[in-house]
Amino acid sequence: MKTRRFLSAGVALAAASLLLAGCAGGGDSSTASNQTDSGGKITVWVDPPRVPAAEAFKEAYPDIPIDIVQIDGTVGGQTVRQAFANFDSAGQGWPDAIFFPSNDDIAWATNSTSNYAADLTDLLPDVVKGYDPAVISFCDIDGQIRCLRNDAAPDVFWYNKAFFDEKGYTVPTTWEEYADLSVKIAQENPGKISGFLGDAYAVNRYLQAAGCPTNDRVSESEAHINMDDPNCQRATDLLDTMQAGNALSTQGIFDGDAAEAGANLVMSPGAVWWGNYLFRDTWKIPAGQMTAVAPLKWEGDSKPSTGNEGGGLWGVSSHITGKQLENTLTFATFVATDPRWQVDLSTGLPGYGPVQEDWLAKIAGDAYFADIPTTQAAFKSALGDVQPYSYMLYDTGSVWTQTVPSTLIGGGSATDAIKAFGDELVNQAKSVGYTIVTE
Amino acid sequence: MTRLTPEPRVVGSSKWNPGRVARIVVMSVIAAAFLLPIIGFIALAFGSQENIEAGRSGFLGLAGMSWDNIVYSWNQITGFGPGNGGLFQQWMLNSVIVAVGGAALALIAAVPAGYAFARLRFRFRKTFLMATLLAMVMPNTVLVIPIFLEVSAVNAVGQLWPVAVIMGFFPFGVYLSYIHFMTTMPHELVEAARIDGLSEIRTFFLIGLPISKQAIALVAFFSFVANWTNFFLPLALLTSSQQNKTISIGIQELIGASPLFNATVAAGLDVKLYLPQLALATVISMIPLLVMFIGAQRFLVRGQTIGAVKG
Repeated sequence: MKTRRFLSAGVALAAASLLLAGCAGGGDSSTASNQTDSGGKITVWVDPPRVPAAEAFKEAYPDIPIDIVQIDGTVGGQTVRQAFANFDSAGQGWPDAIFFPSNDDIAWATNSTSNYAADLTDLLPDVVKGYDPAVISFCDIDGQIRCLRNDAAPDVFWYNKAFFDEKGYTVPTTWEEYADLSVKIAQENPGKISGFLGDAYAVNRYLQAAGCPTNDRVSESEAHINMDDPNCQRATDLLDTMQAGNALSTQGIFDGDAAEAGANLVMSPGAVWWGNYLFRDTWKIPAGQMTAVAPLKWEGDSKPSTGNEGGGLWGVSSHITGKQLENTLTFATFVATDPRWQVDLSTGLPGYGPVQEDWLAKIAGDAYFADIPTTQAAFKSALGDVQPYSYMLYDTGSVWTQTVPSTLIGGGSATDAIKAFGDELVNQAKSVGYTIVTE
Repeated sequence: MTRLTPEPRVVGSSKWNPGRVARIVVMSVIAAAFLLPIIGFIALAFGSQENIEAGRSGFLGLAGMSWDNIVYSWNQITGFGPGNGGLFQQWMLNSVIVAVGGAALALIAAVPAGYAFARLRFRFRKTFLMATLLAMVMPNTVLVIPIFLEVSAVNAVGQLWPVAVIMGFFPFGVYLSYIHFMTTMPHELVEAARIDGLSEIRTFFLIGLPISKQAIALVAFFSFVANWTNFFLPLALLTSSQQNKTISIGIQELIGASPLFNATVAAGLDVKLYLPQLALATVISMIPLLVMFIGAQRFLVRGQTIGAVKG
């Protein structure tokens, strides 16, 4: 009797739950087919550092009604993706424009399930044209520009000019020279290091710079990953040489105790934002020491190859039309191109070309770098040297931090570490639904 | 004068012996294992990042405590947000609104429902009771997506009232009330009321409610705690609203904006949220729970005996 009661209660509860889900399940997941128009009001989602961008827009365009929503900016966080999954189910609720907390977010925002990010190729052709092709390539999904870069973050080659001048070292111009010199410096100056391997961007600094296919999007469901590729091998050899010569730190650049190692950094590939954020503000390296030169070449290559560390992305909703879309495009244009945000307020090198000179001019005013004209030229030239890299549904940086530092700390070689990284990367790519191709 | 209640009998030995010493040592170690992290955490809220980095905070961080640190940390967490900040205070206020509103609705629904299950006879009563028990053990997360779709269907995503309404669904409160009325309200009392001509509703209000202070306090307390600490429901329903988030998801945003966990994001902020600031925000977020606990303590202690003795 009790069992029957339990069963009937369970059935009643299940039926109620199904009814609840069923009643609400009328959401249209076909997305763009039902574009709406609010008549003008727009809603934008921004992470905390991008709130000033939205507020600058509000001040510049007081006639456009705007709701600014500050979202959780955790890089690699799932909050935004979960919210969008709910919106996709409900068929409504998406923001009109968003600053994606993680660049990887563009992968799910453009897949056929979500299809949130609008194709901006024809909506904002003049803005798109203002970007260096290498800078906007991260937004190029199957030939459509699905986002706008907020800032560009190419890796330049940083070195401590004061140290080099004092010791008489020559700044390397190739990756191979960099590896050899790093070992020599470590031998002659114990404790001095030439690179960090423990943070998520290390994969960009070395593997992306080598052209190693870790993030090569073949199609929505296919990823090209091949750690046996000669380009991966040259990066592995480089790191093996440097690791064996005690020239690398297994710490990450963001580690709380990285400042001590940072003070001993004599050279490294690193993003343009390393200058102010890491060297000046975090590691407190005195002015007049650090400076940047153009990225390095691989021996045999005709031009430099470098990676990219971050540089945020703006997306526009594909679910809107009319005045709402018009105002949202005005917003996207403002935050991507307007000097009132990009030059006056933003800390990163603008991705949009026409405002880069004004931003670079601010470096001279800061008077922090040892050789300001060379640093300015390096920032600009590096933009076109960034190697292709697709943001995917798997988080390459997390796979790197989970595998490489632990393998190295455990006594493994760089070869062992990158092997472990490659194996786990393939596992994670498969787990999120990709078919792996090696050619 | 006759003493009505005898002195409580002192139990246990007052003499020291190895067994007693061993018991005290074991209990002290276990107590310390729980207490020390709490003390350290509160001390952290009074600390400074500079002292922590320099290793000057001493044992459990007690050496680095100062009121100035609290003032600095308070300014940092209240400065978080667009313009001049103020999101933290808004999150706290929102949490109070949904937690109190949800608890009030839970009381309005759960106490009469518990009474009905305990003292009324109607078709499918036991089936409904079983369904209540099953709903009680069902994880909240299971229902978050269908609930989101329901709320979206009435265009109320991002508003506080649906969160409070959904929090008012509190099957544990129904069960607690059911046990209370089963054990403290004899059938004879209900029968007598009926013979005296009271309707069922008047019987509940005039007989049932006056003897239910403990049950009401318990339902209110547990409901408030569950609402205050609810994470998934506000996350699903309030993420799209700048001003209507609650503290449970707000704390996560503070962590996401800390240089310790998200260095590149934190680099673009005027406020700096290190461990002392995050600890202070968490400690402040616990204060309403402590106030609620202290307020309901008398009823909570007495209420532990609900169901212990059949009336």
